[in-house]
Order: sequence, then structure tokens, then C-alpha cells
Amino acid sequence: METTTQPEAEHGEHNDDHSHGHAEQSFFTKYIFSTDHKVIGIQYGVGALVFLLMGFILIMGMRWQMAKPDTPVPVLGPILEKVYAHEIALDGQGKTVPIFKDGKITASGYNQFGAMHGTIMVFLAIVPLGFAAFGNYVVPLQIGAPDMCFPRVNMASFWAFFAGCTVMTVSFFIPGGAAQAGWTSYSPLASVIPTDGQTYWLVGMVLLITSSLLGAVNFIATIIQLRAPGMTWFRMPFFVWAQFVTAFLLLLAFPPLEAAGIMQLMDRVCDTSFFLPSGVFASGTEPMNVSGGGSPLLWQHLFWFLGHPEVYVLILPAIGIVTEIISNNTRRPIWGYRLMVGSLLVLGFLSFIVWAHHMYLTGMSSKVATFFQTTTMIISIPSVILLTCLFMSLWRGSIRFNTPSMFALAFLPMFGIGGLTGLPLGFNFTDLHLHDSYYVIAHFHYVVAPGSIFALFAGIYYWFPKMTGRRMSEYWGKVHFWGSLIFMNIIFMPMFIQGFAGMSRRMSDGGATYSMINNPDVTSGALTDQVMSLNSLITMGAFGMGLVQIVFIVNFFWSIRNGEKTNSDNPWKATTLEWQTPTPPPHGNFLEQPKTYHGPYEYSNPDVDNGKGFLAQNDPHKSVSEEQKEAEA
Amino acid sequence: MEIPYYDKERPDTGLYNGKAGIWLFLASEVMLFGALFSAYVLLRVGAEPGTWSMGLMNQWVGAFNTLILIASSATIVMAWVCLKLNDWKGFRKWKWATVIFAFTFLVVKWSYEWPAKFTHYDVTFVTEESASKVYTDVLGPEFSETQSKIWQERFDPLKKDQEKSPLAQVKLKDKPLDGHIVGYIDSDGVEHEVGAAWGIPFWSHAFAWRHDRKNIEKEKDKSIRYGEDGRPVYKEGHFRDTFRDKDIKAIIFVPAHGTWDREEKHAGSGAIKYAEAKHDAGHAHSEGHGHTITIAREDISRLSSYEPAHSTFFATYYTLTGLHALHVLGGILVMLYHLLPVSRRVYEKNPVQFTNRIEITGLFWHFVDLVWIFLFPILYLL
Repeated sequence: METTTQPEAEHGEHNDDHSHGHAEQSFFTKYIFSTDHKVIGIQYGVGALVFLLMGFILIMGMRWQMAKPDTPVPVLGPILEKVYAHEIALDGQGKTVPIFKDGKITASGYNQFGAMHGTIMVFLAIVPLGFAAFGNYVVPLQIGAPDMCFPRVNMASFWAFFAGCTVMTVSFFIPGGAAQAGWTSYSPLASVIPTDGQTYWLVGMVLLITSSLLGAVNFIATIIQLRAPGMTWFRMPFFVWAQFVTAFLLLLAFPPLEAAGIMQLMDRVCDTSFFLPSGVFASGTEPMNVSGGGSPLLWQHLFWFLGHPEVYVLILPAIGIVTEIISNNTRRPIWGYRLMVGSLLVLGFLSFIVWAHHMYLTGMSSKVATFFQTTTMIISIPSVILLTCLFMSLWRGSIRFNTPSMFALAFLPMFGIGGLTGLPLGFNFTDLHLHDSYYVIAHFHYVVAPGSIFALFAGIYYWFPKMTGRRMSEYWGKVHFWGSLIFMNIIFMPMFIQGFAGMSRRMSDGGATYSMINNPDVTSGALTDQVMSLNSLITMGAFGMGLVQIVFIVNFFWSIRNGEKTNSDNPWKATTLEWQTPTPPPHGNFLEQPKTYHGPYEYSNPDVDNGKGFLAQNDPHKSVSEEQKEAEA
Repeated sequence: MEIPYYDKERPDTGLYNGKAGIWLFLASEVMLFGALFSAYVLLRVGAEPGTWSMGLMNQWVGAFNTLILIASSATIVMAWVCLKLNDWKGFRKWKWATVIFAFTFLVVKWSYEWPAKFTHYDVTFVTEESASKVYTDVLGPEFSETQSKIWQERFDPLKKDQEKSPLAQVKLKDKPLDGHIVGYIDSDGVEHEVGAAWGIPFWSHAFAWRHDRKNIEKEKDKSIRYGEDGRPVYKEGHFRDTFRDKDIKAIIFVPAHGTWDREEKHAGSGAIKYAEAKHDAGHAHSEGHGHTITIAREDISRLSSYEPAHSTFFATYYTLTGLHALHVLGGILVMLYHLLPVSRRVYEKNPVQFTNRIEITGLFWHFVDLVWIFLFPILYLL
């Protein structure tokens, strides 16, 4: 509704005037220990973006090491050598050395970077950004609620996240450094590794899981309880549905990892043997001083019971964002909205019974493998339905090619590549060859990097005007988009080839040990020069990617104060309720209780003659067919 | 705008916000404990014969705790009913009763059941000879007979056919002799007495140790260590390797079973008085038979108190009961908050909201109770 639109200027300063029923707030309660879902959303968003950058810097260090093994990292190496001056990494010769020895990354440092890159990107960056940040900011607005159901629980969730992030970050600087056993922390390795990083990792994970538990409870309760009058289940925007299912995945899939984390913590701190079999040797000639009787497979089962739903936690909010943006920018209703909701629910359910397809190489029986292959193939059906519906939605739309819409459109083929290349990994006979190779890396990065992260960028560009009243620069946004798209593909496309060639994903020298250069006598099986040379290409792509992100960072901060003013509460001419509030929305969100009369995507409805080309959800105007239905009733 | 439905029910869902929240939270808790129960099943099914030592649990203590927890579930409902009837005094009475029951549960668990286990040891032997030397020569045939019954009870509580029992395959040296350490002999042959049976000092001599020649020769060093090949050595030089710290040559040991009458001797209860044992030990030691025995360090392949590191059974036991006890503790803290004056003010301001809080606390408390009702059979009975 245009009635809430105010002419220009200083919405911000008048916020308190709008916040009926909310007391005046001091600086601390307003910006730091805030219970307002929008502030918490922004806190999550900023935190997650910082960690997204940090995870990316870690991988740039690793990429350098892969392209140029044992050469000093340019520029950063000498600086980081000073930061990591104390001895915290093992050099493989029984000595502790700095992670950056002579400006080079040690093998142990590489392992730390690898483990923490995965952990940070998944648990500290994409989940907090997609689920917690956008969910917190947008969901209550979209369902017409004044706040989340439990605002103080919401704040507790953020601060638990903050504590978890702190523990994870601090672990880099303790003796021995951060966790080195990979983001999956497989036992027995993770149980017996002699440095304390893994213990910090586990404590950090318990805090992050607590945070996600509190968040998930809050989201589900909010969506069930606080929908505005008239906001029926099938009038909810698809983004809300995606968050709803995601919250259920977090609620039910994370606790088994917490249980596993507690057990691994017991293994490390109290010397139990939950994951250590009898007579296990870690080093030397004597078995370890433990009781034994544990099961390494138990860890893998519990981890992947979380791990697979987690994949959908990464992707579902992204699909939700893309759906909103595509509908808005094609000016058409989403094709098959109910079908998509149904697929989403099926997807959520099935994601709990596919986990062992990560474990085909553990020697499971062919019957068990058959079950998990079958469920894995079935789960691809709802995924394909979601993607197909989004493609169909483009048909005959008059597409606006602004930055958010370009990111959202690029999401579709990129996620498609990621999804389709997953099928060979879902069959155990093809997985035997591809398991643990660069093919796996390429597959899941196509899902989460040009998939999820593109959608998250789209979301940032799309909702930025609601948060600040200004747009981000379109020109630099498009530079960011094209740069990211090109470099993403330069990075990940060659990895498929490397994976097919058999390059393992866990070597700190980028496979040089197994290359033809270092093994001139080996005639087959060694990595050819062509495959090895792709390492340099990928690394150049990664550094190009880094340069392009600088454009985004500058654009983001510059636009907060200097971006083009939107002069409207609804700059994208969107139908959903978050655009029918003042900008930025005051504490308490709506000036009066909104009522919902329509579905979420009433664009270009020929029945409607309100002169705008779209019908906001709270616009009491009826379409011709709705009037007819009422008349018949 | 106020947040709607914080104290009254939403018509189409029939829930107020808090109730929706607590049920979701409990769903998550079910998955947490469900994962641990699954781990229990997997570890128990995969356990080697003679390693799942669950027959040691005192079932009557467990049953007592079960009863008071069930009682507390009833009293917390009474507290809620009183509030519904606007009976504030009745509410406080029943709430206090719940807190006292819950507190009793924790006292039994944390000051009685757990510490008693930390002072109770299992010894296994390096060779069959060293084992039979202790079992038959030192302790005598009568003891050995009693001991084998105890093994049967302990590792095979369902009492299968003796010959088919998996315990029949376990070698004598791997069957643990259980009891208490009352002292040790250092390298100069000097005898030392060690701590109280239970109470604070239990950590001072609780340790798990495994026979390991390198381990014996290594010097004390608590930092990360490296083997001769330059690779890091994992888990060696352990902080609980009291043998090395104190330079122990032999331990003086009181077998818990078979030498006393059952009432007095069951050391799982922590009821043994060490002064007595020590007094007996004096002549027993010199005579070469009696209540205490001296076991040389060379004969011991593994020595462990009933701490988490003892076996996967005890690891599971402490993890499950510990996590459950933390939930009980959390419940107590919330209930104490409801008994503070500030809660009276909440009640006066909005009685419905406060009554809802009590209902939600009750739902949580029933869940904690329910978890224990599963824990009791799987850890004490089955």
C-alpha cells in the first residue's frame, strides 16, 4: 500500500514515533543486546559476512599452496608469519613451527585451514546468513508479525552463536592451532589428535548447535502462531515455507550431532572410547591406552544424520530467496506454488533418510547401500520439481534484469549443475571412483557457492533498500555479478576434470606427490601435467574471485550512506508484506495490524484493475474473479 | 504492536506461544537423547564378551531415584492445579516439594552413586599365570568360585546358560578383579596409604592405566611428545598415569567381593571403611593371605576405576546420566526462579501468563522424568 510511503528523508529518525507499545531503548538495548528481530537479523548478517570473508581468505591460502607448493605466500605470508609468530603447527618432523614458516604454509597449517574453511563456511557463514539473518529480518515481516515469538530467546540465540564463533576463532591462536581433522571431524583421528584445536571445535559446535536450536524453535513457533489475520498457510510467501522446513531440519537433525559432539568431547577429555575400537594404534608400536570397544562408524552415522539435512539447510533458504526475487522481477506468479510447497515438505522429510550415501566406502552391505541409493534418487525428484517450477516461472515473463534478479537467475543453472553432478555420487558404483576426489568438491561447491551464496547475494541486493532506504549501486552490482559468475566457473569447472583424473581432495601439495613430474617412471595412474596445470588456473580464478568481492564490500558500505534513495517503501513493487511497512520498519514493524487478503504472488493479474499491475497481500482490493466467487457464495 | 497469543490460545492452532515453543524444544530433546540411546544400542550390540559390565549397578538406589522423580512429576502437576484454582500458598507448597524431590535425586546421583564408583577399581592381568597366581594362590579357591558368580552377574545379567555364555570364551587374565586400592609400595619398598573411600579426594588416586613397556620407561612429561621416529605420540604420558608420577612398584588391593559378607562388602555403595581394611591389611599382608593382596605393577595389564574411561558401558552411563542430571539441575534452577518474590509480582500482574509458565515447566519436567524412565531399565536392569 502506498499509504505508508513517506516523502523522502529521515524515516530513521522517526522510528520511535512508530513503535507503539515498545518502550524507549538505550543504545545498548537497541543495537547490541537487542530483542528486535530486525536488529538481530542484521547482527547475524554482519557476523556471517565477516566469517564468509574469513573462510574465503583461508581457502585462498590453501589455493596458493596447491598451485605453488612450498613457496612463500605473496604479501600475506610475511604478515601472517608475524601474527602466527608463536609455534602452533606440527611440521611432520616432530617439531612445532609457526603455521607460516618462512612465509610458506605448513602441511599442518594447511589441514587447519581446510578443516576451518569447511566449518566456518557451513556453520558460521552460510547457515547464519541464509537462515538466521534473512530469516530473522524477513520472516516476521512477511507473515505480518510484530516480532519473533520469543524475542529474548532470539537474542540468546544470537549470543550463543557469538560465543561459538569466538571459540572457533580463538582456537587458531592456541598452542597447536585450530582443528585439523576436517569439518567432518572423523574419529578416531579427531579423538586422538594431540593438539587442543579439536576440543575447542567441539565446544564451539555445542554452542552453535544451542544457537540453532533456540533459533529453530523460535522460527517454527513464530510461523505457526504469529501469522497475521488472513495469512493462511497457502498465502505464505515461499520464502517463509522454505524457512519453516529449514527450521524443522535444524531442530531435528542437529541434536544427533550434539550427542556425537558430547561423546567425542568425552573421548578427548575423559579418555572414553566411544569412537575408538579395541586395540587401536595411533602411533608407535603399542596400542593406545584406552578401553576400546567403541565404533568409528558411530561417529559417521551421527555426523551425517546431521550432515545431509544440513545440505538442505544451506540450500532451502537460498531457493526461498530466489523464488521471491524471480516472481518479483518476472512480474508473474510463481508457476506451481503449491507443487513447490509440497516438494519442499517431501524434500525435508526425505533428507533424513539419505545420510549413508556419504558412507559408501565404509564397507556397508549392498542391501543397505541399495536402500540409500534408492532414497537418494527419490530425493532428486522434489529438487528437480523445485528447479523446474522456477524455470517455468520465467516463461513469458517480462524480466527486469537488475542485480538481484541476475544473481537469482544465475542461481538456477549453477544449482542445476551442482544437483546433476551429484547423481553419480549417489550411486555407490560410481561413487567408488569419485569418492574423496576433487569431483566431490566441485559438486557440492556448485550447490553452495554459485548456488547458495549467489542466492544470498541476491537477497542482500534485494532487501538492502528495506533495511536502509537506499539501493546498492546497480553498476557495481553488475560488475560484482559478472565477475563472480565467471570466476566461480573458472574455479569449480576444472575440478570436475581433476576429480575424474583421480586427484584426492586432501593433499596439501595439490597432488604433486602423485604427479608425472615427480614420478617419471610411473606410466599410468599418475596425474598428468594437464591435470596438474589446472591448479594454477583455479588459483588464479580464486584470487580473481577475491578481487571481485572487494567491489561488493565497498559497494555495500558505500551504499549504506550514499546509495540512491528509494523514495518509496516498496521500490521493487512487490506484493509481500515486508514491503508494506515504513522503511526501515520500526520496532514492532507495522503501524497497524496488517490483514491479508491475497496469495503472495499476485502480479500481472488481468482480473485486477487497481492501476498498479500488482496486488499487495494486504490490499483489500478484490480481483474480478474473487468478487464473482463472493457473489456466488 | 504487542506480540499476540503470548498468554491466550490462538484459535486455529489451540496453542499459546510458549506451549508451541516447549513442544518444539522437546522434539529436539527427543532427537538428542534418541541419538544417545541409539549409540547405546550400537555400542552394546558390538561389545566384546566380558566388557559390558552393567551388573554392578545398585538397582535399589536406581529404583529409589525413579520413584522420587515420578513423585516429583505428580507434585509439579499439583502446583499447576493450585495456580489454576488461584491457590498461591498451595502452589508454593507443591513447588517446594518438587524442588526437594529433584534435589534429592541429584544428591543421590552426584554425591553417592558417582563418587562410589570413582574409588572402585578393576584389575586385569598381563598373563594367565599372573592372573591365576592372584586368584587361586593368594585368594584361595573359595574366593575364585564366588568371583566367577559375580562375573556372570556382572557381564551377563540375563543369566544365559553357563556354558553358552559368551563369558566362557573370556580368558582369566582379561576377567577383572574388582576392589579398592588402599595403598601402594614405592620403588624403595616403602608402603603408602591412599585417600578416603569417597568424597573430595577421589580424583587424587583415580586413574586408568595400561601395561605398556615404553610407558613405564618414559619420563614424566605432560606436553606433546614425540617418538623416536619424530612423529607425535598420542595419549602417552597421561596425566592420570599415577604409576609414573608416584613411581609405584605395586598396589595394595582389597578385593570387593568374596572376602566379606555381601552387605558390608559391596564397594559400589562406597560403604567400606578403609581404616578397618587397613587394620586387617597389616597382618594379612605379612601372612600372605586374608583381606588385602599386593599386586606387582608388572602383573597388571590394565587398572581402572569405574570412571568414564573404564569401558564403553561406563562411558555411556556417565554421559547419559550426566546429561540427564544437567537437565534436572536446569529444571531446579527454573523452579527456584518461580519461587522467588519476582514471580509473585508476575503472577499478580498476569496470572494467566504465570500459570502458563508453570504448565510449560511441567511439560519439560515430565520429559526429564520420561528420559529417566528409559534410562533406569537400560542402565540398571536389562
